[in-house]
Amino acid sequence: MGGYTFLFLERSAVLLVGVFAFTRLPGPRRRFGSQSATRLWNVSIFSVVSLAGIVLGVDFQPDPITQLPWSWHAPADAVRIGPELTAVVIAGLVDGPWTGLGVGALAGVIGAVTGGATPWATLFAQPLAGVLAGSVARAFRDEGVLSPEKAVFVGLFAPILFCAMLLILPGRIHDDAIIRFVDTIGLPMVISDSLAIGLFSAIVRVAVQEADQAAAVQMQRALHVVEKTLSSLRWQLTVPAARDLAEQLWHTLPTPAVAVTDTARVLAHVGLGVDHHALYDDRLPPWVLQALRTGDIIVVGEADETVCTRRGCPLRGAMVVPFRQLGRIVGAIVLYTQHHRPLRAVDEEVARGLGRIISRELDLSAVEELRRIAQESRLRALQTQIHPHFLFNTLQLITGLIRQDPPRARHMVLRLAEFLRHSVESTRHLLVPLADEVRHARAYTEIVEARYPGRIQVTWTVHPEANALLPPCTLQPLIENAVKHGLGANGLSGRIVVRIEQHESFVRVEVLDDGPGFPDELLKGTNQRSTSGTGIGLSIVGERLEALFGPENTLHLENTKPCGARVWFTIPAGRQISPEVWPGA
Amino acid sequence: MPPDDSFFLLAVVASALLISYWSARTHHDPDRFYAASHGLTGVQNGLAIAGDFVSAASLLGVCGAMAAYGFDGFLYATSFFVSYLLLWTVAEPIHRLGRYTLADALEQLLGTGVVRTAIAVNTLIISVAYLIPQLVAAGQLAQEVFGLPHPGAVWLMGGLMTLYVTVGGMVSTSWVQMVKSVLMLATALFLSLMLMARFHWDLAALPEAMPALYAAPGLLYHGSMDMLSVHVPIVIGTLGMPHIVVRFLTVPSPAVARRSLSTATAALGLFYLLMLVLGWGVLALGIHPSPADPHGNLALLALTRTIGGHFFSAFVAAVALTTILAVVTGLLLSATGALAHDLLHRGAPRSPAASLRSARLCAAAIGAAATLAAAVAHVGSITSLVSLVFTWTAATNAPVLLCAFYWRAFNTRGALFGLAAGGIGALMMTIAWPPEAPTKAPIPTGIVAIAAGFAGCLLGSWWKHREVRRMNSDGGHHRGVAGEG
Repeated sequence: MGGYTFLFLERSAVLLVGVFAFTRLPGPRRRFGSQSATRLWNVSIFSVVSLAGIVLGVDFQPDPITQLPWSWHAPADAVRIGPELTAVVIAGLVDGPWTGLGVGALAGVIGAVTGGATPWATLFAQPLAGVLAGSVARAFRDEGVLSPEKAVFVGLFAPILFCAMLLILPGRIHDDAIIRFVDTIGLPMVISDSLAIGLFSAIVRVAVQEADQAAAVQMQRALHVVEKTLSSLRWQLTVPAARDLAEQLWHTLPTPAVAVTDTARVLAHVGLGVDHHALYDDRLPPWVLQALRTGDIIVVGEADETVCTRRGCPLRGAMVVPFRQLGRIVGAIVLYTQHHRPLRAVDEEVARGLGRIISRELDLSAVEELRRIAQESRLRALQTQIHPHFLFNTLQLITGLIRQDPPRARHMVLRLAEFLRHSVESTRHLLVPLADEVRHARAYTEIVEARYPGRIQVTWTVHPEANALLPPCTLQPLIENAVKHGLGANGLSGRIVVRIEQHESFVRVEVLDDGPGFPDELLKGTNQRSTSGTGIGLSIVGERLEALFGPENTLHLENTKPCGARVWFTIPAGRQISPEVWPGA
Repeated sequence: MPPDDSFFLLAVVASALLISYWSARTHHDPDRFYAASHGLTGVQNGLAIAGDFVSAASLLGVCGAMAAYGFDGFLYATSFFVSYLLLWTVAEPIHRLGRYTLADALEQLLGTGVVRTAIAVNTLIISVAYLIPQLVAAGQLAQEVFGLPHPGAVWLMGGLMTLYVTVGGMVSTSWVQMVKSVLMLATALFLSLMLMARFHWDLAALPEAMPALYAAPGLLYHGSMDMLSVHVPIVIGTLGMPHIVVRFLTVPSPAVARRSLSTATAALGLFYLLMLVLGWGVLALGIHPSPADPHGNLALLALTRTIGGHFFSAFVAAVALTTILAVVTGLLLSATGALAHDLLHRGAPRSPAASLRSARLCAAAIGAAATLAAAVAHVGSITSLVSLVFTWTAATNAPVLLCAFYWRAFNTRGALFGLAAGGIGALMMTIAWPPEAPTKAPIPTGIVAIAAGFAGCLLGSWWKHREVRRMNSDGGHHRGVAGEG
């Protein structure tokens, strides 16, 4: 038994060496990748290998079992056992049942025609083995090329099938003789063929992997194209821009589908699965959310995870590449694949590069946006904060006080000076300490209280350790707004509460009044521009907060019950934001 | 041991280890452990059902029974197939109501925790009581075919079974059952073709060649009552076998559950047809059970040796081992679900991690205990244990399931009474007239036990049914099956 095993292994080894040498040739090597190899090419290549296998076969005289010397054709009373079955099974494993059938049929016909005592068994066993191997590969198609150890397991059954065929269709050999023959060569055949199939699968796998690596190089070249197109635009994460990006990636990268998401939804999906993946209100799958949370590139679809539960969806794996704006994750690109194929380091490197390019573009556009906001706020601070009327009225008030109450007049002049100084100086800075803002706003309220004695009452509750940086002239417009509310509606007295709370990681600033509250249309959006007078001041404050600290730190407008309004916002505590980030300071 | 035998035995062990290794590398959660994430396709689950269903009693036993008793022996194959057809009645309700176990489904329907406890305990009893004889049979097979020493063979099979379930849960269980199913069908097909080739492709010549005595009924049973008493529990019992009904929980939708049943019907129909051909072959080639093997369990292997030589009989023996392995794996998994999910966690575990941990511990514990019991079990008592298990299941689980799914007035009390009455009935009948006893029972014992189970269900539901119904309608749990889409 050992002798036959080694004999079969030797013949298989000769064939495998030939196959290995062939896959090293530059032409075939590039075509071994599953994308460029057509079925015809696969059938012809594996047919050639299987014909070589037939030629390499060992002829046996079955009764009594004797090994015959090598010849081109098997003698009429002999059975030829060769490694051609290996090629047929591999053809099925690599390219599915049809290729298996094609190669198997050819090998079967040629094997049967060229001689031997069991033409029918040869004729049926080869195509059957090819089809069955192909069906197994289809069941495991998520892996691309079947792993060698699974191929060994599948390969066990091919020679068993062949032996069964010998017993079912014994041809010109006596029943008892063929049973003895199968008993003798069955196990050697099983061992040598399954090992050869495993090795063959490993060779094909290496070739396919090399083809994939070539594709990765191509991908890297494509990235440069994308980079160039992106930087020529002022790129921002909007639905049309996302669709453009997705389409460009889809055209230049070898991927069946591309999606671009922000942190909450799919902005664009191009390619396969567009019928059900492109729903904009679709919630993001958990693996995308995970990538958005951690900021790492995530690969899904290895082994048995599923990317899409929908029946018939061709997308089986995906790589999620999150990108950032100013260090914050704002979205992700999803590159889909049709195979559960293990990720290679090259792919990940390319994806990382892609994420970096997009992040850089987003950073650039964010910086641009910030510069615009800074300029605008400087202008508006100059324009809106010191109303000439306010100045005149205050000066008139002081004129009156000079006669009636000179110390108080002096106090008011100092307040006004303080107010003006802050208003003018602060426009040079993008961020000022919270204490400065409080002093500024207090000066303002004292002036207002003096102007309307008894009609406005402002209560301050400021946490003694409250410490934060915020854009200048943020607090004062809120109080001004509250004063207008309090005075405008009930002619009696307006009570205003300013509350500043220090929390662990943020500072909350809140201004309450007991006026009539905001009109409904203003409340619909927290940061809506409104044409009414109060709206502009507040919306500028809100816009600036959002631009500097992100959407969660925007200005919130609420009506309180039974009457009154509340305006509040939160800002990160402490001096967390390094000033050099901000241009125009 | 001849090289063919040792190679195929090694292949069985190696493939078991490999499948476990692969499933160990993937991620794990309770949904995956108990229900393969409800992600199997219809064909996959259909093959797995067939793999779960066909025990060694079908693959080896049918040929043996035909060799010993001819026509009467083949009745086993028909009973197995008919019993499988009855599964169509429970597949969809179980799929719709259950999550991981049979008790899940019934608690959902009847709405009390007592039912979960009762069904879970019963599931545990049935699974373990069926597991032990299967393991003993595996040990016997390994001993007789591969020449392994008896307790060692049992330990080997029990160890592989425990490894499968502990590491991979339902996923590797499903895979081993699918692989087994395909292997078993292919083996039966090729053996039948070899047999036909031996008879020059003349199907009619096959039954003609067998002794006329075996073609007629009467070798085993002395009347229809006698036969019904044996076969009705087999037909009804399968319906309540927990390891089979949980397979309907592994698919995503009722449509897929139906498709898996169609696949399984086709596979099992083909399989039992092939078993009939092979049984004819056993008789036509004059293969008789040896004195060492009174039940004829080795008849199929003897047939294989005659028509396919030693190489193929080693292969068929390996397939038979895989067959048993697939069945015991399914049994251990359902026992684990009953103990860990139903009894320890009461169907609502604290966390997925805790659920998974206790499932694995329970699987290892039950696996080790059952293997130990099988290793020390007395071989002669096995057959009566199997027949007791089938009678017990037919008298307890089957009436409760049928009533629960198809009778609106059925309630918790009915379920408990049914389980108790059926269990007591089955025990009493088996003790009074053991199946192996020389004296024949004056009454059809199996049918009486089943009747007791159904009577328990009916009386329990009717007795004081007003209060019980009020309790149920308050909870709003009592959902009829017919009324739901």
